[in-house]
Amino acid sequence: MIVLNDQLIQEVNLYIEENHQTFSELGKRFFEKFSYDKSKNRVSAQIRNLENITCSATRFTDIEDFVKNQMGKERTDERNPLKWKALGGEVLQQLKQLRDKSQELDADPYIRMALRLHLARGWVRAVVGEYLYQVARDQMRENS
Amino acid sequence: MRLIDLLSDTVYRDQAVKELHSLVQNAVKFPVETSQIHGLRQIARQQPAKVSEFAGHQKERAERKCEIASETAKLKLEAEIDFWTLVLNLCGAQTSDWSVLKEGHAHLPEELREENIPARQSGMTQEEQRHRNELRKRQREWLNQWTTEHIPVFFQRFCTQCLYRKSLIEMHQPSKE
Repeated sequence: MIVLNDQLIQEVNLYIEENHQTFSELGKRFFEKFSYDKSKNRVSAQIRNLENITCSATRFTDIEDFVKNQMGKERTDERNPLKWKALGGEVLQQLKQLRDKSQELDADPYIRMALRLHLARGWVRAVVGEYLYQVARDQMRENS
Repeated sequence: MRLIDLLSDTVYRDQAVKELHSLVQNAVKFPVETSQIHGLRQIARQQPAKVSEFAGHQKERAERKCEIASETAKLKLEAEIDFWTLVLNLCGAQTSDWSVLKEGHAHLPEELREENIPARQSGMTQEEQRHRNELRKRQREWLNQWTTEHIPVFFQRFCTQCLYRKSLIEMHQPSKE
């Protein structure tokens, strides 16, 4: 198992901090597209799946493939508006940014791989954190 | 982290993206149906050694249909033939620039590399012949093991990329990679 040194971890954390706003914006759009089950107060299973796969993946491409699979599977019509197909492109673009960042940070391919996963976990925390915040705000609005 | 994870995350992903981009960049319809992509993924996962046979069979079927097809149907079938030819090449055809098998050759252990296996020559002693045959046998087994492990991993990437590109073509959107 690759253990990232403190300096690399700091650089990853700094990058996530600096781009937090961009990632949060994506979280807001996830809320707009996927919303949540208001009757059961349950967040979207799609968001939970994205979070789970990002936190458990051993390969960064598994996260990209999850998004591509969801886009490929999504059948849309008048009753089922675009969700993944509307957001997937932006998600893949942000994942590509993370991949590019890992290339900048180290030359060793195995360390880059570990960096990509570390970056992805920071990214998903920002995205899902904002999505959950929007859910909470909506619930508060509903209750007041 | 293992080499297979690294390749899956880099080379296999990049090759799947690149090869499909070349194949469908100007297409108005994806060359094969979703069910065929699922079929390819399933064969690759369950019977990796049969992928070439499966692709060859699909290609022949499309070629037979093409012979009696109308001009408009011919275009679609020709695209399908190109798709299955690509799958065959990606498995290990000698003519392709890159394949799972060629990737295996690049990672062969030192003693099994082509340049370290003596060429067959007249006048070889029995011992030399036995040594050569033994190295060849080990090389074959090593490459068989490689393709058994790597074909499912590569085609997992490839099939996902197919579904993704198909969905984009259906939406008339450019790729975001």
